[in-house]
Amino acid sequence: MNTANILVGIAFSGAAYAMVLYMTSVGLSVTMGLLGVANLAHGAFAMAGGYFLVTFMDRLAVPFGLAVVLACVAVGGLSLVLERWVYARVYKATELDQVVLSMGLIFVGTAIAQFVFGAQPVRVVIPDAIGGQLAAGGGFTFPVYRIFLIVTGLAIFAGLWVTIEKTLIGARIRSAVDNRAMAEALGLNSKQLFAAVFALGSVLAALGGAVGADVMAIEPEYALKHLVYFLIVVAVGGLGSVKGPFLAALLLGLGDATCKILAPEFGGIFIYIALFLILLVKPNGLFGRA
Amino acid sequence: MMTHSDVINSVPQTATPGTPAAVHQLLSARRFRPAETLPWVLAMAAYFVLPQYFQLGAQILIMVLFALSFDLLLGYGGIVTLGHAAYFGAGAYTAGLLAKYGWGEPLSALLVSGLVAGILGTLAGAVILRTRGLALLMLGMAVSLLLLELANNLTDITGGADGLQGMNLSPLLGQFDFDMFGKTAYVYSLAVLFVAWLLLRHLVNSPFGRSLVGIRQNPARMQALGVSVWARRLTAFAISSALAGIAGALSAQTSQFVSLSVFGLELSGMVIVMLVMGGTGRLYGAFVGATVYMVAQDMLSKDQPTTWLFWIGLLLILLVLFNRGGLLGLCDAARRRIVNKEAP
Amino acid sequence: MSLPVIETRGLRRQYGSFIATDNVDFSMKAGERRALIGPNGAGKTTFLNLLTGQILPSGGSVLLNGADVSRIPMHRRVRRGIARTFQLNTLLRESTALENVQLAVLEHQGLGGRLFGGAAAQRHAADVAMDILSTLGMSVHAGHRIRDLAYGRQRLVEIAIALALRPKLLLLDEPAAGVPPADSHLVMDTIAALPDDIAVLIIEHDMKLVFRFAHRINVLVQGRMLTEGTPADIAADPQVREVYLGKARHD
Repeated sequence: MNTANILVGIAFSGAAYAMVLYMTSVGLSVTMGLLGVANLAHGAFAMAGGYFLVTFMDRLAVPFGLAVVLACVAVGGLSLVLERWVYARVYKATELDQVVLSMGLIFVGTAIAQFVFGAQPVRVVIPDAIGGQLAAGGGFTFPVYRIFLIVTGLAIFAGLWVTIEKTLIGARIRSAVDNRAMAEALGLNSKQLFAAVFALGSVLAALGGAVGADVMAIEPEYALKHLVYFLIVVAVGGLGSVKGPFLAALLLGLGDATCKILAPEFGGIFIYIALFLILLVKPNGLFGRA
Repeated sequence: MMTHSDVINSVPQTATPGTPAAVHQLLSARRFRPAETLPWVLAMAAYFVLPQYFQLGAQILIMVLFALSFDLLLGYGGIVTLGHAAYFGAGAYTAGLLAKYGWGEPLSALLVSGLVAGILGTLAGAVILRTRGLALLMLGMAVSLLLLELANNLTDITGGADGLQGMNLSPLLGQFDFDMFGKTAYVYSLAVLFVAWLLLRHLVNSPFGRSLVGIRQNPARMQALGVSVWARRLTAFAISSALAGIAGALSAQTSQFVSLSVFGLELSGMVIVMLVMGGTGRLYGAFVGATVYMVAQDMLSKDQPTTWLFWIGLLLILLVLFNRGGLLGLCDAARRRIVNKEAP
Repeated sequence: MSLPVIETRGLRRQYGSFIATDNVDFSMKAGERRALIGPNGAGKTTFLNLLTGQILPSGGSVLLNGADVSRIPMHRRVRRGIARTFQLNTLLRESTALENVQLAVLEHQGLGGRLFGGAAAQRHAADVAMDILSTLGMSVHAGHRIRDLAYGRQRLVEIAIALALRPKLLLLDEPAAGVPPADSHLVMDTIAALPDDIAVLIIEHDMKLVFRFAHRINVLVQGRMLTEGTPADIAADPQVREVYLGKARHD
C-alpha cells in the first residue's frame, strides 16, 4: 500500500510539475525554433502571468478563471510591445547579443517584480471548485488541483499539436520555420506571423506561470531560478517542436519527483548527466530539426 | 586599370630591402604600444594611493583575469557558453583543498589548480565543442551546475553550503605573509595577472590566435583552408579554462575561503556582463569592463541591490540594441568622430 | 595512363526522397580546364561540396589522386590538395587582403595552429602572400581592408586564398558572379593565367568565360550528368539547348 501510494504520489506531483514546465517552456521552443532568438528571458513572461493573476484576483476581486484569461491577455499585449521594440531588432543579431539582451531583460524584470511586489513569493488562492483532495477509493487521495494542471497541460499539448500539424496556420508556421525567404516570396507576411507566434509563446508561458503558481512559486527570482529547467526542456525536446518539449518535460518532471523521493541528494546530478548524454547523441534534441 | 602583365613587369617582387607597406602594417600590429602600459601604471599607482582598497583591488584584478580568460573563448573564439564558472570554481576548490590539507606553498598550488582546471576544460570541451548554438550553451552550463551539485553534496570534502574553510597558506615566496589588509594579495594578484596578460597577448597575435578569429568569423572558410576547427577551438577552451582556474585559485588563496558561488550561474553571467560592457575580442575590454563593474557594484549594489539589478539589466539591453562594442567600442567611435572632424 | 587528379564513381547524394546528385561519374586530369554548367538547382554546388567533403555522399565514391577520400572530412581533403572558392565571398571583411591570404599561407605551411615562435613564420608567410597577390595584380590593394575593395577585386582575393594552398585541384564556384561587367575581365584574366599544373574546375553561368576557358564542359541537370564534351560539342548539342532554352522554341 505504502509503495503504491508513494509511486502514485510521484506520478502525480511529477506529472503536474511536468505540465507546468511544458506550458511555460513550449512557447520558448516555438520562438527559438521559428524566430531563431535565444530568449532566456522567456521565464519572465511566465512570472508576469502569475503576478497579473494575483493582481487581478486580489486587487480587483476577479474570479480565478477570468483572472487567468485576463493575465494571459495582459502578458500577450506586453509581449507584442516588447517584440516590436526590442526583440525584432535582434532577430538577425549574433547569439551572444541575444543572450546578453535576454539577460538584461531578466534583470530588469526581476528588479521590477521585486520593487512592485516585494521579495517574498506571492500566494495564489485556488478556488474551492478545483481545490482540495479527491478521494478515489482504496485509500488513495489525489490533490484535485494537480489533476486540473495535468488536464490543462494535456489540452494545451493536444491543441498545439493539432494547430501546428493540421491547420493552415500551422502549415504557414512550419514553412516559415523551414525557409523564411521562400515563404515570404510566396506572400507570407512573416513580420505579422512572427509577432503572432511570439505572442502565442508568451501567452502560453503566462498561462503556465499563472495556473502553475501552486507548483512553481511566483517570486521575483522566478525567471532566473527556473531558467535552467526551461532551457533543458527546450534543448532536450528540440527547437521548434511541440512534441519534443512535452516528452522532455515529462522526463524531467517525473525524474525530478523520483529523485526527490528516492535519492534527494543526487537529483541534480542525474539530471545534468542525463542532459549531457542526450545532447551528445542528439544535439538538436529528441525531436529537433537540424 | 592595371592588367596582369603590367604588374608582372613593373612591381618588384619581394625580398627587396623596402618591404611593401602592406606587409609592414601587418607585422607591426604585434608591437607594444605605449598606451598599453596604462593599466599597469594605474594598478601600481593604486597600490600607493589607495591602500585601504587592497582587498577590493585584489578582487578586481582577479576578475580581470577571469574575464580575460573568458574573452579568449568568447571574444576571440566566438564560443558562447554560460558555464565558465566551472573552471574558476575547479581552480578555487583545488587551491582550497591543497591549502587545507597540507600543501601551503601558494605558487605551486596556483599552477596545480590551473592545471586541474585546464584538464577539466579539455575533457569537457572535447565533448561540448561537438555541438553548437543552444546545445553548446546548455552543455557549458551543465558542467558548472553539475560541479555545483557535487560540491554541494560532498560536504565532508568541500564544506558544502558552508564553504571550504581552514586553508593554511605559507608565506608567498617564503617571505610575504597573507596579511589581513590584503597587501600581499594585491601584489600577488597583480603579478599573476601581468604574466597571464603577457601570455594572452602573445597568443592572440600568434598564428593560432589569428586563426581563432578566422574561425569565429567564418568556420566554413577555415575548414576550407584545411583547419580542424574542433581542434583549434579545443585548444582555446583548454587555455581559457586553465587561466580561469588560476583566477579561481587566486581568489581562494587571497580570501582563504571558497564558497559554492564559485560554480554559480551568477558568476558565469557576471563575467559575460563585464566583457560585454568593456568590449569583447579586444583583450583590454576585460580590464575596462571588470574594473567598472566591480567598482560600480561595490559602490551601488550593497545598499540598493534591486536598483543595481535594474540598471545593469537596462545597460545590457541598451548595449545590445545600440551595439557599439562596449565601452572600448564607444571610445573607438568617439575617436573616429574626433579624427573625422579634424580632417580637412 | 596517368591517374586522374579527381574522380567520382556513381556518386550519389540524397535528402530523404530528393536526389540531389544522381549516380555521377566524373574525372579530371592534372592541368585540365573543365567547366560545369547547368540550370539553377541542378546540383552543381552540391556536387562541388561532395568533392571537397563539405557534405558526405549517400553512395558512390570520390577519389583524389587514386585514393578513396569519400569519408574523409573536408579539412583533411584540403591538406591532400583540394582548394575551393565560394560563391558568396567568405573573406574576413575587417582584415586586409594581405591578412586574408597570409592566413591561408600559414595554414598551408602547417603553422596555423602555432602558439609560440610564430613571429618569423608570420613574416615569411606575409612575404609569400604578397607574392601571390602580386601575381594577381593586387599588390597595390594588398593593404586594403576587404570591405573597402571593389567586389571584383574581392573575388580575386578569394582566388588568391585558394592558390595559397598550392592545390592540385582548384574548384571555383561562380567566380565571376556578381562582378560588374567593367571588372569581369580581372577575374577572367586571372583564371586564364592560372598555373598549368593545377587542374581547375569552374562552375559558371557566364558562357563567355566558360567557352573561353574550358577544354571540356560537363552539363549537370537535376543531379545527373547529362553530357560531357568540348565547347564545340556542347554548343551544338540539341539536348543542352533544350535544357537551357526550354520548350519555348517549340511553341
